Amino acid sequence: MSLRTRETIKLKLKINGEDNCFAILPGDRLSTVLRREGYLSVKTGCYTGDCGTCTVLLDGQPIVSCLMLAAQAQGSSLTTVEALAQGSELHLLQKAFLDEGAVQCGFCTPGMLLSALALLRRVPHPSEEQVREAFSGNLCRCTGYERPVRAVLKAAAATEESSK
Amino acid sequence: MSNSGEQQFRVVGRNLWRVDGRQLVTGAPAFSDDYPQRGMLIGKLLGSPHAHARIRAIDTSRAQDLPGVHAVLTYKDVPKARGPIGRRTDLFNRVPYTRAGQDYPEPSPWDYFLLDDKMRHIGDRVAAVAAESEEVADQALKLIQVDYEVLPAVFTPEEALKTGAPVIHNEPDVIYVKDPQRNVCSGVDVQVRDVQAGFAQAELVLEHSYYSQRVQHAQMELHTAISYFDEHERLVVICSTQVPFHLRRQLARALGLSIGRIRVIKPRIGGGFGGKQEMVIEDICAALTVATHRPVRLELSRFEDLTAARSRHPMRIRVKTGLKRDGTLIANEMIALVDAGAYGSHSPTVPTNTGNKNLPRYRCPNVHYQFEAVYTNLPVSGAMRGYGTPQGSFALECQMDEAAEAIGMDPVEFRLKTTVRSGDLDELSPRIYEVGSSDSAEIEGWPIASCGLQECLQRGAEASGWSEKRQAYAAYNADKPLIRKGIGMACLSQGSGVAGIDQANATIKLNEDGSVILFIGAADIGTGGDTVIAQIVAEVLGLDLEEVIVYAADTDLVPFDSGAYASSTTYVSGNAALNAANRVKADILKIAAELLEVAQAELRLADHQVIAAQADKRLSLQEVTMHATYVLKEQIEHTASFVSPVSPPPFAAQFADIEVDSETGQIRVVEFVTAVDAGTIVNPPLAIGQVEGGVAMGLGQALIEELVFDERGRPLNKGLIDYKIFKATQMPKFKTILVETYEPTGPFGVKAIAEIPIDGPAPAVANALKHAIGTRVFELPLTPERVLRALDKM
Amino acid sequence: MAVKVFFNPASPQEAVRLMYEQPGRGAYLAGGTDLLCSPEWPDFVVNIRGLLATLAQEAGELVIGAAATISRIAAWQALSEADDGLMQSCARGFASEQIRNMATVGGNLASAVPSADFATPLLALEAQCVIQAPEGQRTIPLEGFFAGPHQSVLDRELLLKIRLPLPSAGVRTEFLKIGRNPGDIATINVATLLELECDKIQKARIALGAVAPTPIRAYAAEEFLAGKPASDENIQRAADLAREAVQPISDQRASADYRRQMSMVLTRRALQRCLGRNQ
Repeated sequence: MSLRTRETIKLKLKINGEDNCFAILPGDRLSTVLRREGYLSVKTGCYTGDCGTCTVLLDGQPIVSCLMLAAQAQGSSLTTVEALAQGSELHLLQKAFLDEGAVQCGFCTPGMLLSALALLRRVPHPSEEQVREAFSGNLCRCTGYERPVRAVLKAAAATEESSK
Repeated sequence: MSNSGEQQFRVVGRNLWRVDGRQLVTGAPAFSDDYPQRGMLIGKLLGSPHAHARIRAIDTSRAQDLPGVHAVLTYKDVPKARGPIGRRTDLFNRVPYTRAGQDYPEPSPWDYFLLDDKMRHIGDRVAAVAAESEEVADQALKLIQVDYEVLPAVFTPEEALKTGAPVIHNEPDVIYVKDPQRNVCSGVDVQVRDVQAGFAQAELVLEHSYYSQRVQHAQMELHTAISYFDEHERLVVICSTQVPFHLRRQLARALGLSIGRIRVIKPRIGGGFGGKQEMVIEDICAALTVATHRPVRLELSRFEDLTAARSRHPMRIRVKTGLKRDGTLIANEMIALVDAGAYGSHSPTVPTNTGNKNLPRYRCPNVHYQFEAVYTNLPVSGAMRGYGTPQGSFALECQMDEAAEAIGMDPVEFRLKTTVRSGDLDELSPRIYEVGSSDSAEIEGWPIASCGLQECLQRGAEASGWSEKRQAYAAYNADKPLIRKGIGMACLSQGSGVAGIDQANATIKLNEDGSVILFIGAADIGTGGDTVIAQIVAEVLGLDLEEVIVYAADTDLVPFDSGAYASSTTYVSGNAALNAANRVKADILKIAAELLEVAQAELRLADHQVIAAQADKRLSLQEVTMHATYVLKEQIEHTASFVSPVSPPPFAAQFADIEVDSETGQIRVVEFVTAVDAGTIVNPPLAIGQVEGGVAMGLGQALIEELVFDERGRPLNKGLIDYKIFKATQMPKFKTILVETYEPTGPFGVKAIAEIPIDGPAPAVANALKHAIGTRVFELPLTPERVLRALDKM
Repeated sequence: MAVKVFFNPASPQEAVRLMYEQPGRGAYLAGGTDLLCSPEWPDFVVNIRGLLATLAQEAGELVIGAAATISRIAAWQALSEADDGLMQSCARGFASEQIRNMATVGGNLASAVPSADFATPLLALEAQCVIQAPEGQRTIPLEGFFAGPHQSVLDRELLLKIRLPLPSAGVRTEFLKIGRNPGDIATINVATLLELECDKIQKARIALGAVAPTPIRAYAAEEFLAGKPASDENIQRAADLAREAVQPISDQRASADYRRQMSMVLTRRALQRCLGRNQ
């Protein structure tokens, strides 16, 4: 008996709150499918999970979408950076990144924003060390991480202010 | 020195959002790979499995027969020209070219061919495939049958220079190679006065040899290109390049097309650092489009990007220093042996910088600089942030610490005494760049107009707690504790563009509401160049930053620019934009003068208004521009250009505070201080970001980064898993001090800042290590093993 | 190269049956962080993500489902209380946040790389591996699980769970690792466990990674320490014995010499830290 020829799989998942159904191949990486379907904030820089530019939130947790087959994400809920801004109003984190000069080339920025978002949801007022640990899987070759770390701390402080 | 007089800036010097900020934080389409084309094929490259080999036979028939494969190109598709021009039937012809993105004629050897039958390093181009999917392209690569004649290979410059060593470039049609039979790619030998006489006069002569390893850019965005023919049958290439105009010209040569038929578009770039000052893939990607008449996307894998794109030139540098016991330098000599890798990309110019961006930092009457760049069967060395300077600064700054120690002087004090000041001359650079123009002895030095190095040294020493820590750590280390502490420093200089060569142009078009469209050839590679240039224009025209709309780096739309390298964007391209803005401003004032009936000289442009202060009259900018458009029927638009005869050096002092585990040899950088003089700062967060990012990269070079190869030249770094760069969790505490000077030739007094921060981490950490453990490590990176050997514990 | 079929079994038994019955080369896929990095992909994958993720406390032991993610293990309080934080400490230095949310402890073991971070603490804790074969389950000690670099004793069987006998109360443990930067693959890693009674060592377990073709236990060092006072001299002697137990290679991460020497240094440090002597 030989293997069946490849069949497409119907992948149902929620992305940024919207239900989606994509036709995928069994060996498609999640990052490949997301980019193909227009979620271009998901970058790819290594396909080995080292750079973190393909970070997305899977059921709220940051993962690298290059090391997951899309078929494994069946029925789950994803968040990409496209979800952050409300219309033309940027998310606090996005504003803080721009205020602090945390964006240079911007290629790692979506992944960093999502790692930061997951952290702030879990720990609204993180220590600097916690912010750095949240970036442990996001390589950045431009900034030296100092400005992104400050941006997250600033966004956290701003959240505190606005919730008072 | 301070800012020019009482000048108050509205836009320059302010913390403003990047002009591309919204696009980047929302993840909107921005980078090359975000612009796929309909019907796009996937291009892939077959890399050589041998470090040095000749293709005896190559059979592509099975790959070509695979369904979904549209083209398989090999050297056979790039034959020597046959028959008269105009009657050729081949798509491509064999012409030598360089892929180094430099002004024409490039100083680099023309030693490369679109495809060749000789392989000179592992990963060298054997064949290229275009197919309908990645999977089919991969399968096709596997179906290409190659019979290689494996040739002896050499992996160090020393081996390559030996008599009887295999000749790497023995093809008859390469040009501009210094001595191909000896594997010598390029070299320079310049002297200011007479070092031998200097050594004879010196009370003390020191001589040491320092080695800098092969590191790689590891920018997050891989080399990516998308090429296609547009509806006018013109070739469009969207790619991650730092040099759109050089690339267009070189593509024309490689493919035999006219320059006017090619359009290069640089969208946002996910980091360049010099690696993209090079036609790494665009020629072969476009060749696949020519061959298939289909859009093609070609993206290197991380493995290819690390090991077969470009990397920093490894160098072994012998430094000989003669000085007096009071600290007066008499003679400084640097002799560098440079590993060019398999092709001569940037090899004449990178090692030139090694000398002339370092030696002129010191007041020393007799200076000698010599290098020889040698071909080896390793990946190509090329441009990388600092462009040869970091190798030289590692050698020279370690040597200067040795010199200070030899005479018992504090390293900071030694530099305060021996480094240049405003008004001093750089005597070395003109001897390199003005060769042939006059007798070397008569060449005058280039004056250094602005120099804040003394202040950098003082303020950096203060911020780092230099004096206290220097003493306290020495006392603490005396008991040989498990964790040793050290503080070390280095001082640095770089350049602002390439003097007399780099050219920038800017066009500014005024809209009826007074806002402007700015067209620049400058290539923002993530540094924020577009933003900073727009700030300069906004400043001149009294606009808000949002009112300057930037179109950049599309060769069809914008005027020529040399590109983003040599820390040139703010200084060179910024000056062009300043000139254009001043012309637009002059037009505005001329029209306003007529409308207001006052002399033009009495008018100034500020805050969206033309103001005649004495007459107490004013007009809004919009009133003037509406008048120009609808009454005078004129489009106010100007193009201006800039070429600098000088390259004003920024200066810096950097300080590393470290801890060394004396049992494991591990080094932890606790705090890193940079005091930098980059003239006026246009956008402080972006400037500080350049410093912090440069330091992070420099610390990688100091401690953990290295491309390593086995005895057959095979790369052992398979990806980012084995090419480590610094992570957020290991960064030191940063202190960055912007020491503002005013550079008279710069727009609003600016100098460059992009490269200089990477020059200091390696020597500062190496000097701190010496302070901590008492012995010097002369080779980079400062690995735990090297530390333990220095401690005599291994 | 390409994965042709993706299977979503409902049970471990079905997963194993698929692996044995389907033609072509197959692989179990959980976190994907090793498998999807390899240059050659299998013809089919059997997805076990979410299938074997249970963490359970049973009589006298803790049971870790093989597909439990590193993040969940790090957050499992019953485990950190029982093992003096050994596994949590290992998890903390493991790769990155994203990888910890994906990678599984079973995958870390089944890949059988000599540097596998979780192999050393689990060796020190004397873990047992429960394996699902087509004919049923079997249990083997982790010591017998590794066969060589990238080779375990598993054929096409599935690692189901890892059983940890509860260490005695008051056990002291330590995990140390050297890498080129945080979260790196280990240049060398060491896990130690001490059971003490009045300053006397009752039991010692010492495991080392990336210093031999498989993760190893330093038996001679363990035996030497059993019943001895926890003196600096004895600790040093044990560390020297650990050094003799290793057979490292040189690679792009470090030389064999360095690894050999660090076997001694890290073993000594880990043992001293177990004793509360901070080095």
